[in-house]
Parts: sequence; C-alpha cells; structure tokens
Amino acid sequence: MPGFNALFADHILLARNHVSKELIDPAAAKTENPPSEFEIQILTYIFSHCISEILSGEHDIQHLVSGYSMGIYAALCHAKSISFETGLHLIKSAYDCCRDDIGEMKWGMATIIGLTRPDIEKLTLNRLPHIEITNQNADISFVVSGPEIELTLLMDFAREEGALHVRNLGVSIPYHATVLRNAACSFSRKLKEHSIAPPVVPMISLIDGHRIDGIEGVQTELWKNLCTPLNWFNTMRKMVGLGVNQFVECGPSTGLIRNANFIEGDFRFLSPHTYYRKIIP
Amino acid sequence: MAKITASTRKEVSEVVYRFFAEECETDVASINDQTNIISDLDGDSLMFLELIEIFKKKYNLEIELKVIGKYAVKHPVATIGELIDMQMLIIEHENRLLDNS
Repeated sequence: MPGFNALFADHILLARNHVSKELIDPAAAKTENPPSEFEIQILTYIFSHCISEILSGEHDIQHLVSGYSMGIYAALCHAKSISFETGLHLIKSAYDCCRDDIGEMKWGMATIIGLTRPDIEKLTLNRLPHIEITNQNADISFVVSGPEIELTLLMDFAREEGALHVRNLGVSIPYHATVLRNAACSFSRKLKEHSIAPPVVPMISLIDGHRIDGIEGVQTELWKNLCTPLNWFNTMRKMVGLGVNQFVECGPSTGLIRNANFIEGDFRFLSPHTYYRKIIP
Repeated sequence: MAKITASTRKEVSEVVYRFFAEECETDVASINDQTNIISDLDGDSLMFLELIEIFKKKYNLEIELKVIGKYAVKHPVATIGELIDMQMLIIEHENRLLDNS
C-alpha cells in the first residue's frame, strides 16, 4: 500500500524511543534473531495502526471498530480513545503484569479447527482442568489457553478426535484466560496512569458484543480483555446484525478473513490491500 | 453416496484449481497437481475446510468433519493432486471414508 513502509518505519522508531529499544523492522531482522513475544505484540500493533491510519485518511465512511485479542490497542487508537504512544505503554504494562503473575510456570495458547465447542469441552472434562476456550472464531474454530503440558495433551486428543488442524501459537502467556485475573487486577490499577478518552468511533466489545462507551468503559474492557474469554464469532454476528456489510482486516493475518466464510450474513470481509485496490476511488 | 463418473475427477479438479487461484490470487495456469498447497500457495486448513463445504453442497454429501480429520491424520495432504484424490474419496465414501484407510 502506498506510504505503508515509510509509516511503519517511522512508528518503529517511536516504539524504540518508548518501550522497546532493540525493536527492529522484521523485514530487516536476521532469521537467527527473531523478535521476542513482546516485540511481536508491538510490531503487530504498529502494523495494524499504520493500516488503520492509511485507510482512515483515504476514505471517510460511517464505521464501527473492534479489536481482535491484543488488537484492542490498535482499535482504541483508531477510535481516538488513546494515542499511539499510550497504546505502546499499555501493551508493555499489560505484558509486564501478565509476566509477573504467571512466574516461571509454562503456559500457552493453541488453535483447534474442525471440532465444535462441546467436542473440545468433552476432551477437557475431568482431564485437563486448566484449559479454557478463550476465543471462538467460527462454529468449528477455537483458540484455547492453558498450561503447556495440558495444551500438548489437548492437541493430541483433538487430533485423535478428528480435528482438521491444531497448532500451538507459540506464546507463553495464556491471554484471555481467567488464570490472569491477578494480572488484570494489577493492570486495572496501572490504567489510571494513562491518558484515555471516550472512543469517538463506535467500538464493539469482543467479550460480549456491547458498545464500549466512556473512559471507564474503556478501562474496564482493557483489564477484562486480559482475563476474560472472547468471542469473535458472536461479535461479528452482532455487527452484521447492526447492519455492517463490509469488514476490513487491519492486522497482518488473513485468518479472520477466511473465518468469515463460515459466518452467515450479507457482508464481505476484505484485506486492507484488496480494500485499498478495489474500493477506494 | 454420490455416483462417481468419468467426469467427476475433471469437475473436482476444476473446482480445486479455480478455488486456489482465486483464494491465493494467482494464475490458474501456474497451479498443477504437484503444486504444494502450503509452500507454493500459502494455503491453510481453513481453505481446506471451505473446499469441503463446497463439495458437500455440490454433491449433497453426508460427511462429518471429524471423519475427514481422522482420515487426514493417517493420510496427510501436501499437494493439489493429493487434495483432489482425497476429495474424490470423500465424495465416493462419505462417512465411510475411514473404511477406506
């Protein structure tokens, strides 16, 4: 997209000054020195923010915004609730709270495609007590969080049960799992140190589909986002119900675009590239 | 069960080729049976799932995803040709697919 590379590079410099001194552009990174888990979060945030900036500048249409998982920070930035810099500090603060809370224990997240929610719940019942379904992308597409040892077992069980695809997401923090409630509590206290405004663009919660209003509403959504299961499937259906007929993915993955093919409704879901190429006059 | 005719493989191949050309924004002429779905086309499991849904509707198939998943564990698919072979077996055997493994 025109202007993206320069904008991305500028924002990497900003992120270096604020939260991550060693951050480098992944295009320039050596393969033997990949970005850390925290740096990936920052890079993803920068990517989404830059796409959102370019699209916002090009086309002013009535729209809603919703942030998938840690995409909540880029979504808040798009909604003019926080500045880009505040987003950087919030991500750092949330990450530190989670790291401090989980200590040395190994946790993780995985995706399971091809099984239903009852299928997964049956696999975990009485065997894997700490596994939680922490996001639903479609009827048969889920994200789970839990201790690494239980995740490994669940992935084996899921394959045996007939899952079409299972994948460890390679992260060490079980985001959106209730085990992070102490981390979320610490994060909620730190939120008061940051400048947050009410969203200007209507923003939809991934927790329960409600519209996030006011400063307190944003703060509550932010700490809850860490320790509450999300549901992208229901959020999308809610937005379609509100009359949304076009979605544009601002993140670097095409996963949600593909998932949308399994959600009924009269809408289209575009990559930013397609949106820019085909829609913007 | 759907009746397999001489033209079925041709139909299935055409649908698979066209699907990947559209989804991966590539020229259909650049795809052949040896094309690797992941390394050459950057394909993924959701594409596979979409294709299954397309064939379920097209041939009115009765097959559970879990049956296909269990079959795929034993017979992993890497290329377009292997995917077409698997779709043919799905169309032919539906929920009895595992009897064929």
